[in-house]
Amino acid sequence: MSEVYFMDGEIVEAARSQVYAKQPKFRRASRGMMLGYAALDSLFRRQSWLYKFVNERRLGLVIGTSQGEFETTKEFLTTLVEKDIARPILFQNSLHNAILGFLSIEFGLKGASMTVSNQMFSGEDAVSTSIDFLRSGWCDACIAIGLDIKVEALSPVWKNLDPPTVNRGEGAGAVLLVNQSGLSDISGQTPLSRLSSVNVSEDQSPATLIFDQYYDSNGISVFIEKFRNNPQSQKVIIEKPSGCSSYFQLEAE
Amino acid sequence: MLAEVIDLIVESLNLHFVEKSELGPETVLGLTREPLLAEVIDLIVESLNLHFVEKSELGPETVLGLGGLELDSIDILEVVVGIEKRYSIKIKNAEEGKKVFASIGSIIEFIQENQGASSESGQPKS
Amino acid sequence: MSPASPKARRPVGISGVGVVSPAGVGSELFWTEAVEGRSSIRTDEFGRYVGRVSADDLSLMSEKVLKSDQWALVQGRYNDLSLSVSHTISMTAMAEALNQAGWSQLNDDDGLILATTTGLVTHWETALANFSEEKKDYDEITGRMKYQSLGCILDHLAISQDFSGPKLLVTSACAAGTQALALACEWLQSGKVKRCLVGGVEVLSQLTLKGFESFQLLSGELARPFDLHRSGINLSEGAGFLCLELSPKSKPLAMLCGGGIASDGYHMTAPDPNGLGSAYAMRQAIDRSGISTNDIDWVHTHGTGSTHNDAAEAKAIRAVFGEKDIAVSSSKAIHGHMLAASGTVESILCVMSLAKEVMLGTLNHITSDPDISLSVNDNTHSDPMNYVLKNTLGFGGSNGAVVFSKYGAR
Repeated sequence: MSEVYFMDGEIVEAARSQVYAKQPKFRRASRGMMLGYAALDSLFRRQSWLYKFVNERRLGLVIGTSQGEFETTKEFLTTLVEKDIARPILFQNSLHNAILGFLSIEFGLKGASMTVSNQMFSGEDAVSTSIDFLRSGWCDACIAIGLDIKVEALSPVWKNLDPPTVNRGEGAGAVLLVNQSGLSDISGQTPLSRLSSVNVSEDQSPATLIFDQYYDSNGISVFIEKFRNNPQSQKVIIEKPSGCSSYFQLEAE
Repeated sequence: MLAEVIDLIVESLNLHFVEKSELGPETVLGLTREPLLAEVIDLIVESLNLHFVEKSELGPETVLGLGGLELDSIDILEVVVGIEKRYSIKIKNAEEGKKVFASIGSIIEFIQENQGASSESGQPKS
Repeated sequence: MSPASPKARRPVGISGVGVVSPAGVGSELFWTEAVEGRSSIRTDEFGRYVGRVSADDLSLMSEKVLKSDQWALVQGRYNDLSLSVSHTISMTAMAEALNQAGWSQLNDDDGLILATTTGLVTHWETALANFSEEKKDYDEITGRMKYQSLGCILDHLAISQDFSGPKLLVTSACAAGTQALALACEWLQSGKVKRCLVGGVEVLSQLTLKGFESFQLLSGELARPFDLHRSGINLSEGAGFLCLELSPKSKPLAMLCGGGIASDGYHMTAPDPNGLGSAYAMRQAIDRSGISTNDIDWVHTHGTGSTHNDAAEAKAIRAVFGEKDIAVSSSKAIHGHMLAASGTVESILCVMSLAKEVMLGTLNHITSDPDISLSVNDNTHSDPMNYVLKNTLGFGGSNGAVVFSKYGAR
């Protein structure tokens, strides 16, 4: 099995979308698009070799989102009902794949890319699909983003559905991965770790944590935080509010 | 004849606040250019979130596409949908659409010529 | 170890397929309607040309699904879940594919990949559209939003098969189906899974009908792929599932050889007019299949009938095939545009074309467009093909392409 390396990670807090809200480039962008942009922007600033990979179509992008462009969808539908107007910009932005579309345009990404969705494992699936892309040779570097938006007006819904340990939020997390071919092409960069696999376990045991600012696809940002606290981990376990869990199987460099 | 028509309009629409003596053959029934211009500018700026554009810098000569506001096809569609709904007009086809939505001025002219021409169902009246 | 070179990759067998479409229930019926050039696109109550699964078919299928062991498993986990059209058509198509392949169940070393953009949309869109904060009535909307997350349908289908192996839901717009197949091919060729069930499902909804209408993309007539007078798409709904395995027990219908995935990075909804992303995905699919453009006998296009898609796709195909006079077809006028499901449902047509040695024509392509320099195959005819390329383009600039071969082609 060919090696995949974890090079960098970025956690994007909800408030960062405010930075972009007033900029002309983002006038049609949703909050989800702004959070995704923030993640890529930070990674590109720190890893400038990414531009070379972009030019050669060697950078892949996989976005995992559970609820997708939920806020935009709601706005499209309520405008339809209340004003009998179907707004094209809102429909364009309401597809789950719209975030990927926006980021591809802004960063000139033309490599392999995909949007995936699997509820609380949306982030994990984005990472494991990135690993698949890298092992298959579809790309030599790949960024996986886990991203979800909260719709404030529907907060009481989540209060009804979620366990009492959960306080819903929104945000994004991104990891940058490369394969052996990619690594050999970037000089002076040391991987943080290898990443062998991301696995999910749907066995339910009572969740022990309080989940503050939780969003379904936060597996990536939780992984990054835990990894930063213990960079020598072989395995990072991520608990979910339902009692399920996932784990990122690493091997320390 | 003029007096009769003025009477009919004022009585049937209960325009009791209008001085009949101020009405004449030149009186436009629909929106005149100035308020219409402001409305169209508002619609464009609000629906496209052009918050960084000064409304006072927009006028009838403002081109929507390249060389002007640089709006793309989705932006134009958004404006088309908004204008059609607001003024009960239907654009017949893409060719007409290109002409009408070339500039703010061409939009205003089209509204003035066709306002209310479309029925509730969106079908143009004959 | 570097990724396997194209020559080292074994083609994957397609052991079974299943379809539910506006034509009706079953892959053979779907195929027959396509071969005989009978469109199942009809006008709805608003005069829109759409492909809708018939109420009678839906009723019969629902009755069967509700009584099934598979649905009992899903209800056992989620007793407040009501049966949606998405469940009905996907579970019916899945059952046909599994039965045809002789798979009595899914094992944990199998895989499941689903392509969809709408998911269980009909379960929640009305409640969301009518939601008002002032009413402060959260009970109904809670029940609806519980199943809003797109991954719910993947979860339900997995539970229906008592399946705990690797699974994925791909939602890259209209390219999702082919991307799902391309990825399934990798899962199998890399040994990640022994077998893989790949499906696509899409249902008509207010969201998509009104949304595409706002884009002025819906045609006011039956779609005319690549035609000079084409004026838009016919939205449709359906489900298509394929059972894939490296070592089929009996002769497979056809083989899946490889796939390509690429982005345009051009516009949110219009394709790159030069078709560069689509061309790249097609080339990648051909390369990874260990063949050349000379080996491809037929391209089954995305060919939606939209002004921009068909023009861009034509450029892409011309860029890939150069001077080769490659035969191309679109079947969108037969069954309509099923968005994410189009990749899997139309791939099933490719599989059956190879198995039955028939190249499908292009219904409603009447007047050639001089700006589209492609040999559009108008008439269905016998053709013992070896390799077929299936292409798709999607909103967001997503592209996907896969190559199928006749069993024993290499």
